[in-house]
Amino acid sequence: MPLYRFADFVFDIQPRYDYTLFLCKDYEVKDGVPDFVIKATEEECQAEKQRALSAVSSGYCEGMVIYRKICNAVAAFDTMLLHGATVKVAGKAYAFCAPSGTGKTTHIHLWKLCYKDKVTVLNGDKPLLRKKGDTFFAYGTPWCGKEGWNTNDSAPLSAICFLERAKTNSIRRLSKEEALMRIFEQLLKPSHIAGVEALLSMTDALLSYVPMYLLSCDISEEAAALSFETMTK
Amino acid sequence: MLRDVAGFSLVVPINAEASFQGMMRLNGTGKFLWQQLEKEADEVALVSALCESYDIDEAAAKEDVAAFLLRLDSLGVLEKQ
Repeated sequence: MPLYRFADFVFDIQPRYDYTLFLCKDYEVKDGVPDFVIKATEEECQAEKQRALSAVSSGYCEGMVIYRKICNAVAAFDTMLLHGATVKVAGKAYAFCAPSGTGKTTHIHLWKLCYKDKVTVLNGDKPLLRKKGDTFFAYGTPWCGKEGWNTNDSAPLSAICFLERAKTNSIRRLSKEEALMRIFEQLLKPSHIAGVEALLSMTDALLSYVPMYLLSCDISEEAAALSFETMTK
Repeated sequence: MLRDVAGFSLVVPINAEASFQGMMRLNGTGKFLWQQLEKEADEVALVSALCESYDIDEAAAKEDVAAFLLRLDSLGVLEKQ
């Protein structure tokens, strides 16, 4: 059975469903020693299916169970899931966060329209962030939202941008106090104490090392240019 | 659990099943009272600890403690014993 590498950890996940095998194929590694063994039982997949708000396949549910278990496993190792559309430009990662339906995907789509090949989507919805020293790295993973935008690649996270809809476009840097609540809401809470402990210390570091912005925007190339120019300059 | 993040005192649940699943920010007094709660202090003990450490009279301390407990309770943070 193949092994998989996510966020520079090696996993033995032995998927039961072809869907998961297909989803994860770009992340296969031929050899290595697994750091974690993750199993999703049939019961867990079916329980996930019962909880789902819309009709989803068992394979999809297996992926959800596996990803949540991965996130819980890596939480104590300075790694966490950020809910945000994350792109790579010139070797640096930028994440866009907002409640679902605000327009994260639309905004990174605008970046791609305006800046073409300069922009790679690492993960359209749920990247892993791993802290190494004073730097947070954003990683592509196969679990990335309904568009399926992901790349098996990583980059140091250069900025996080929170989005809100507005009639006119403006952007400003957030204070730590303003950013705190916003970022905390977008991080997956681990289900064990060591993980929560690590999440809080990572949040503290994230607020210190990664600038956070608030972009009030409409859906336009002007909005994309504003966030791009502000964050990548 | 109570932790300092970016210079703010935060209370977050450590139990995924807890009814309170958000994050609460405490001021200095709130942090002090929370630390007393961690030592299993009851309402009377909270009031006397507050009087001792903050040099305020008992009536004011009682009011502060009651307001603090009410807020925790309304957020579903407290486990009743």
